[in-house]
Amino acid sequence: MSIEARNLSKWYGQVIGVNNLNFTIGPGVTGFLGPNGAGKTTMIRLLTGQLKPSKGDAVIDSGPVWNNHHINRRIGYCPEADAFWSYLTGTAFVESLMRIHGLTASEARDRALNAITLTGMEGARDKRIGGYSKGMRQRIKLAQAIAHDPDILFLDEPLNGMDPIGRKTAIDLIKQLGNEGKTVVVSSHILHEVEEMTDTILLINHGRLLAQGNIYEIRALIDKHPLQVTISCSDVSRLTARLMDFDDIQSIQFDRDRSQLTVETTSPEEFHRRLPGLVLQNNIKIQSMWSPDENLEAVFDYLVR
Amino acid sequence: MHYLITFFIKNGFSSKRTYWLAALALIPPAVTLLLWVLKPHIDGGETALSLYRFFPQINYHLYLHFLLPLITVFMGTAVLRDEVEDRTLAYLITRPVPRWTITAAKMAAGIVTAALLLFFSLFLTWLIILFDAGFDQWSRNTVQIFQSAGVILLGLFVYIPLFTFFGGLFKRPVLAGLFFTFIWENTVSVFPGNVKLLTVANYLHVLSPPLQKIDTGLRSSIFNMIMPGQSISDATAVLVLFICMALFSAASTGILYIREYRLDQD
Repeated sequence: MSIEARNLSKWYGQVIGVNNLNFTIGPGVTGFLGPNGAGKTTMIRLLTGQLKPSKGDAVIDSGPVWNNHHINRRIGYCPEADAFWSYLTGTAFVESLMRIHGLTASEARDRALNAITLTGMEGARDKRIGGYSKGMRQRIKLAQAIAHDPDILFLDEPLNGMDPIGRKTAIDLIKQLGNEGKTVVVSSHILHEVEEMTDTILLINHGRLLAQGNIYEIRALIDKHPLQVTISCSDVSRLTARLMDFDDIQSIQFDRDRSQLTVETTSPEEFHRRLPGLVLQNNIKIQSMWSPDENLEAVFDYLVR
Repeated sequence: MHYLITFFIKNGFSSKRTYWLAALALIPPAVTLLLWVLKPHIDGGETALSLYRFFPQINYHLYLHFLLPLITVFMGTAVLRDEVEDRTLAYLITRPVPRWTITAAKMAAGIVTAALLLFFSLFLTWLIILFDAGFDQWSRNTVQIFQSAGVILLGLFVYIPLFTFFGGLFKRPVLAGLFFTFIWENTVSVFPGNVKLLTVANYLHVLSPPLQKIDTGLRSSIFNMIMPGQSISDATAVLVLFICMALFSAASTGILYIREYRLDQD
């Protein structure tokens, strides 16, 4: 099943929620990445038919989503909001939503219990949600989203507030659902979370789509941006002096105790090619060297800058 | 739809609001009880008041002009606002049910809950009146009570959709609802001419047990002043109430198609 945004825009008065988005999402896990206020939730709400597009279309399997409740049969949605009928127990919450989904009482019960087990909530399933921790509430929200075995899942910041075990359970589950061929959209502003689930991302900021694709493809898009390399070495001053002779070095920064430097280069390949000769010639010992750019966080920083 | 109604009724009984309104619903039986206790002292004990004779006044003032509007304002305006403010609407509108059924089911649940509160109150009032009149008079008293219950039910079918619509329309729907019921309807009811045709209460009055003129004393002046004149037929009143119910229901169930709610921040 595919999800499509066609010139999709949403504005609230003069405030732009999302602006002229065009993308297609296929089976597997896709991450929506962007800082708070980027438009991720608006986008998910447009794609789940909760909001009417101001312009363009949100489409699932060639059908418009807005005002089309039939499509909801195939959608699972985990909202970001920490919202519940908190007098209900975990089981009753999931079961009730399954009944509203149209399942019979016994089907709803079975599906609810299965989803609760998958999300690791079986120990707390008969407690009132009002007494749940934040992580437990996140997991029970996830349970109601997957209980009816939907083809498409929209998970809005699903890992917020989860403890490490809960996160691992949720991440494994999300990856498993993606591997089963379901179309899973996960939004997050924490990049390493998404990195653990998928390589396929959409980067969003100020309601605009900055980039879409594999993290490495996106990295290629930003080659024009300088690459940062942090080097910890025996003689920072000498290495700095040598590096400043090269035109591709845009800046050099030191840490507080001058034990390491961070270099920005516009020619990463050239930099890596000549560095070994440079340190050998000057008898500088490299203790460690890494590029923050290899982390998704850095890619994101570049693109939203 | 059936499950949705059951679900919302359960939700209603988990709300503190319902318990407050249930407490308020005890006011008419309490007043009736008080009248029963005090009645030997009214009119110097010479013409002791019959509660049966007084019931239309209780119905008019305590049910039609106090409890019915109060309960329906709070329950009706909460139909959409509860789900919006608690941010649970997202769970409902992302399920494969038409949006109008969500509002309709919640209104139906509101009507059932409000009816339970009002009928229980009416039943208590009836018991006190029966106790006063003697249980051998139950058939005569029961007609009035059933008539009153029917009118209250009709009122619920009109007011709940109306205030559901208010809930979707106004930022402060409770205030708007209270203004409509306690200022507009009460004021206009005593206006001469046809202005009172613009109130729901007017049509409910027509169908209610008739207020009886009280010929003596200060009570006479007050009751006779505010007693509505019956200028339209029962059939017309029922027809108008059904038209109002249909219009308000259509308007309120359409809100979720027109109005978008921002349930959370990006």
